[in-house]
Amino acid sequence: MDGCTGKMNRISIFVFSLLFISYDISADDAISVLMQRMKSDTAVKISYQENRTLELFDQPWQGSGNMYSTAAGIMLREQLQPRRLLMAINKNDLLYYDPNKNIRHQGKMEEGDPLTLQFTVFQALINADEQLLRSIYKIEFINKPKRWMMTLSSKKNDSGFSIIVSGPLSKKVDTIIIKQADGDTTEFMLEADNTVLNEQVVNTVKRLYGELIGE
Amino acid sequence: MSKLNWQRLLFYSLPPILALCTVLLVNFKTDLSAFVISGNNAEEILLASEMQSGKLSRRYLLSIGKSKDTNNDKQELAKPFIQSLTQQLKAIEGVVDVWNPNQQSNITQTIQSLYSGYANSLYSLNAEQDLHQFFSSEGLNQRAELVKTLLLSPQGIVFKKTILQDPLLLTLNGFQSLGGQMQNIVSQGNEQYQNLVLETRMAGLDASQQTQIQSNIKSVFKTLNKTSPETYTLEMTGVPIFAVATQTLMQGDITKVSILSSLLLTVIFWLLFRSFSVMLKVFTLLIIVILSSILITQLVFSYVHGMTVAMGATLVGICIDYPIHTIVHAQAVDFSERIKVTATVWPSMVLGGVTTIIGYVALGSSGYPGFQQVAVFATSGIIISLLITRFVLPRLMTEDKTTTLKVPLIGGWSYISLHYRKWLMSCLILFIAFSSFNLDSLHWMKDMQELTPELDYLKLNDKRIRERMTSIEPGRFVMVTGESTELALQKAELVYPVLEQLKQSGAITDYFGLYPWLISEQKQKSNQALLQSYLTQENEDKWKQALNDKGLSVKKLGTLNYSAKQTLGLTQLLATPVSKLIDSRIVVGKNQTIIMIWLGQHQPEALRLAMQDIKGAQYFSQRDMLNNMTRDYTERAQLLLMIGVSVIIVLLLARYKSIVKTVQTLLPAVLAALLILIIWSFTGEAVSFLHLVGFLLVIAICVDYGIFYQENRGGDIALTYQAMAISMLTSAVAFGSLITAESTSLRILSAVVALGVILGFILCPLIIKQTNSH
Repeated sequence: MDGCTGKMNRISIFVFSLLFISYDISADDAISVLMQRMKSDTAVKISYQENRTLELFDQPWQGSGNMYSTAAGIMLREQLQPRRLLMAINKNDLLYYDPNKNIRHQGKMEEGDPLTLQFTVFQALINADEQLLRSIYKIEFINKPKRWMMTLSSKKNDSGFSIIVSGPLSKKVDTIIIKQADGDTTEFMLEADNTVLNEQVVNTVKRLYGELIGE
Repeated sequence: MSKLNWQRLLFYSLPPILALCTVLLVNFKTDLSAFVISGNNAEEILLASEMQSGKLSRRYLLSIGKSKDTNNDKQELAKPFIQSLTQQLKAIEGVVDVWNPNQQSNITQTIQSLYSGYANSLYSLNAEQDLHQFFSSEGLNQRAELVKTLLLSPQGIVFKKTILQDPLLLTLNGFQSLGGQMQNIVSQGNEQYQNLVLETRMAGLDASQQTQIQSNIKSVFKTLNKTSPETYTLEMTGVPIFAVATQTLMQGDITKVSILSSLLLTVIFWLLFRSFSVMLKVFTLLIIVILSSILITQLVFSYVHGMTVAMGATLVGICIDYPIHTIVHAQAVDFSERIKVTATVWPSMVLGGVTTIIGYVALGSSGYPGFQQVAVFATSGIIISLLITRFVLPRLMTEDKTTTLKVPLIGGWSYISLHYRKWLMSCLILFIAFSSFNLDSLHWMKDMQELTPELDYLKLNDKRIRERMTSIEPGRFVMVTGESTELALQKAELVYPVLEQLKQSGAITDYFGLYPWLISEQKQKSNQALLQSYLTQENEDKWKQALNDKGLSVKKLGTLNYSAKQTLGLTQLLATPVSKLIDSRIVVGKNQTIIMIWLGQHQPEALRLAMQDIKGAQYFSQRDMLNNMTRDYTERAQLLLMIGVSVIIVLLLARYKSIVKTVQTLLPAVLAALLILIIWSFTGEAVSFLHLVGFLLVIAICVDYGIFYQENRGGDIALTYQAMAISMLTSAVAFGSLITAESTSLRILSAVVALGVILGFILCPLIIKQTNSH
């Protein structure tokens, strides 16, 4: 990433938010109930598998790692495969660290940036601002025979961008698919790690965050 | 109506008529730099002009911070407040734009949208070396790896567009170092403050307009602050801040000095002449003189500077001499003889006026733009005063013959100087002889900043705000000049590698030039041609192999099409958001272009030495430029002083045809100047060109005293010396009033001239022997 200014992909951030917000809801919950359960008191760790189908790649790319969230508002992602990377959001700061190349990037959430729009969604969810969410996205919530599905798409234009959150009926979300307007897709398969205690997650986040910022 | 009444009516009607003309026709300016900064060469002139009216001069730097009352210092400034403030500031009349200098999204978008199309032109300053490395097997593998990393990065969706146009990511090659710079800017940003840049339509030195804008900015901020849950503070800096502060200073000074000198002169006149009628005549004459001078200055220059009026107001102290001499001599005789008496003393007044004009003309020849105005102002004032005194005033003096009140101590001093002349002269000579040894310790002012200590608080404010924003050292840069933009860019390309070497060696932390945003057309074309030579089938096959190895699409990325021929020009670049970043780095004049490569912390000597071998490039410091100007002005002022005195000597020689008389007439003035120099050598006063300007005025005025005393055309030396005493008092008061000014420049002039005229007056009876004194 030589030369790049290291902005976080707001889609990734939005993905973080959905993971931690929606993880312990059942499929039958309406969006309003989802919003009500936004604020989490506990720290959470989720393992994920990531599949990316990109136009400029010959074959799909695969990655895996862990995602963390704390009550203090830090959201952190540690990619373990194919190589280790760290990314985090802390309030308005966006941070990125590539340990192999020892490259760190730091940025700010900037208004007016189209990619920030997705993060605005995240903020709307964190603040339980359903009105704001609905003002930005069209939300469709449907139950299929075996799975429930919530689709977020842009209200302003038919850009082709969408985020699809789904899970088995009456069960928790296990899949998030992000579809870009140009056809690129990213699919996350999720699994909560219930073996770790809240305190352990918090300590892990502290350690990783310290590594991220170079402490 | 009798002829006399018409004359009286016309005389007293002139002030209101002239005042009306002044209000309607005169264009006043207050920018101090226009008064003193001129520049000796084309670069200095262009830079001075840029400082006065260029884009940067129209910008404010605003720093918004949390009030000390805020509890949570660690929290960032609320975005909604800043957003709202930005919007409302943009709505102010006269404001062109408001932006966050650290906001990079527009710049990043420009890089992606604009530069991808010029990937084959702007990728390198050293294309041969870079391409050799790119197209090696290892190099192509590295490029492919970079493409993959970027596509997978959080910015992948954005980089994709660039990669499709520029698979080799040549665009990024040039911007590599920039990434580090921008990262530094973000990480150096002080979270306690949010900085904004505000650009106005009107010139930064248009103080009256900028005063309104500043008032509006503060008003908008105050209103918004009231409605905000947190309390914020606002600090501002920029050329307009200094301009408004200077104007306020000057206006205050003009008002204060005018009122004070008017009051003191009124008191002196009343005490000495005890006649309202005399006061009215003289003050009416002075008002006519001042207003006429302003109008003539406007006619010649199309504007009148505030400093001209401030310094010109001291002209009152000179022009008042002629009516005083006329009144003192005319009042001593009957009405029927007053015109004749005036005609008798007139030649002395003319000679005195001419020598004073010589002093001001010498000042005007200095090249300081403002002093040219003062010269025109003073010359026209003196001529008008002489003419009115000769042809109008005696006809208006219809009062009875009176005896003028004697100025206290003058008679006593006349007596002492006559009876103890030799003893006093000996003391004077000894004092001067011994004290002159100390003249070596006279300390010359080197730093022009010492002339404006009253603005120090603004300078500190400026430094504090800028430190929050950037690591660029203000006022110091590498200046590259060329006859055209293309030539300047070519020369700058010779400078960048040198700066890079200095950066590697630690002599400089960073530099901010036009690369990678823009390079010369010559270099762009050369880059294009060289790249084409590397786009062989063999290299393309190697690239495809590298893509395949990394799992990237050969179909989408395998073809290397870099055939575009266009080059990027400055005009095109300035139409993008990047202009806000680079418009401080290039000044395009009619006949030359200056590129300014700004610097981070650096070692000035290392820079200076490194630039010596590059033609057209030099290390430049604004402070050094001003100090060089100070040195030039000082040398020029010294020369003008010599020329002024020489011309006066020639004039006096022509008049008196005697060296002894000439020397006697001139000596009180010269000795007054020498005594002041001696005093400074003991007090350690830093002598500047302004002090020398003051000397010029002292000599020009004190020569008048020498002439009046020497010629004594009235025939009564006691009366002549009394008249001179009143002249001296009025001059001392007029210039002395400047001591109350806030402006250091005016206070310097005040001290020099007031002291000088007093000393010159005192020395006259000592130096010039008169035998017929009463």
